[in-house]
Amino acid sequence: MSVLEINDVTAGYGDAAILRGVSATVNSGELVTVIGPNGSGKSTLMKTVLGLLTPTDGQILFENESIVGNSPETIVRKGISYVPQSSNVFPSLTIRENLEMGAFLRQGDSGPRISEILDLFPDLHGKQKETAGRLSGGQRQMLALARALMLDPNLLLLDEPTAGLAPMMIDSVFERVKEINDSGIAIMLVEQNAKDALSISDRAYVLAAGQNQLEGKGEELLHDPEVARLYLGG
Amino acid sequence: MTSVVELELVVNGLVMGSIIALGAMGLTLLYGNLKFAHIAHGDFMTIAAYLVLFIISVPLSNIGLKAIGLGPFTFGYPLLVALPFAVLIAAFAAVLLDLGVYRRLRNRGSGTVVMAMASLGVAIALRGLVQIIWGGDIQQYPRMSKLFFKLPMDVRIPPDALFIAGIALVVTISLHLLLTKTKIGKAMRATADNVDLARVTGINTEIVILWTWVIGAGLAAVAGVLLAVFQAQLLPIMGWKFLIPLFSAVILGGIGNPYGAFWGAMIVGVSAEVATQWINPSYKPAIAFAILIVVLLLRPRGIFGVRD
Repeated sequence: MSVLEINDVTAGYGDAAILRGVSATVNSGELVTVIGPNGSGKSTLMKTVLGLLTPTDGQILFENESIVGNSPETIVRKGISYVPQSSNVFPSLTIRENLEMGAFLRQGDSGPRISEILDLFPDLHGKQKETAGRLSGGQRQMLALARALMLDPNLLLLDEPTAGLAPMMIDSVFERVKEINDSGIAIMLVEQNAKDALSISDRAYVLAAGQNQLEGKGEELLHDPEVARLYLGG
Repeated sequence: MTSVVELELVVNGLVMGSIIALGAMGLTLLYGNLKFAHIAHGDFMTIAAYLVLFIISVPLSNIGLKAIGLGPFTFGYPLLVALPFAVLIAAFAAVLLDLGVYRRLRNRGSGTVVMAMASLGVAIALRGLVQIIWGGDIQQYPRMSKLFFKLPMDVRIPPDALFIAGIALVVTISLHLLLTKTKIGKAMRATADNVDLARVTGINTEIVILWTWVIGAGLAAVAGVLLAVFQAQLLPIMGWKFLIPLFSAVILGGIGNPYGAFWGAMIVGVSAEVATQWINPSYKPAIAFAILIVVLLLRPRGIFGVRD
């Protein structure tokens, strides 16, 4: 059954439509990647799902319920967490406070959940009192992922979590993304590192110029000559 | 005539700095969360100072509470009774103004200049209101002159200054606890860091903004009353004239950073007082202005502005 269903969505800024009739589905427990060249509308798609942009046309269903026109806060409350590509931690807050803010919508003590999450991110464990602004790029991505998990979402939207990271860090972010997905959380991942992303994905969509180009299983697209030529660097 | 900085001026400067700090910490929090310069901040100070004058001289006086000269201080306990009411009224007024004016502009997508101009309008309206109700003449809280305290090293200060420093200290520590120990306080810091991220994290930024008004206006109210006590006079223009030291402290401390604003306020307060050793005291406001310009030229992010 589908967690997220995007049907024929048109959206953009002002009069300029960036997405023009895009459709995509994420089924429960799936890891779905969206790849495509710069400006193809990948990030816009995520922002539209989260309610930061309102589509001018089309439908977005989360767990079979329309979320079009809902505020980001309402959508987060329903069970979708989002990690933006950059500026995705609160720099003047400590690591622990960042995690507490991730649980803002949760009632009561967030302490037990923080311990659970920190077990998944051992790098952050000893640094709870450090300010997030002092973390390295990779550690910030880890913290942003950890914060997004605080509400125990049913769907996680990740916007290029490996952008600008060193190769070793990229591997460990993908590892972590795979682990999170294995724990049962559906993920929609937008990526530039298409090869790595496709190899851990169940399915993938290729966007270009704000429209669906291709879709298929991660492995299939990885070996598709057209995709290889255009997006995987030969 | 000695070339050593007179300690008494430093102590006075710290007292003035603590009043500036109360105003500046609220102003910087408002800037951080709403992203516009709240030009009516000084006039919130003024209106609170006058509210205390009203509460002391009408309702409290009518029920027979009219003591002056509490202990070593010039004022009586009615001022202490009136202060919390003035704080609450100022906070309530700020929330109403947000709902009636600023929220509408926000929802319309108005930019920072439009918001700042709206607050300039509010500033002028508030000052006009004070002048209509209380007139333009100098007023005073009912007071009784008291002997200065003699501190070690020949420092003499009015006892009221100790009261002011004490209140400012308690309020500052309370603000620190609020910002670091409570959920809404942490959410305020998070929203000041990155409002977009706060929204997509699920933080209800509209509620955070209302709390920021309550705290910002409450702090301004305390600052206004303390200023009226320290200067032993009330004038409709008292808060407006205080804007330059407030903004100097905010910018010196790095915009949006309440801790920076606290230290910035101390620097501005002490510099202005100490400078009177060499220059005419009527140029005091120019010192704050000079600090503002120098910081903007050399370190626009402020001396504590090390955030990314």
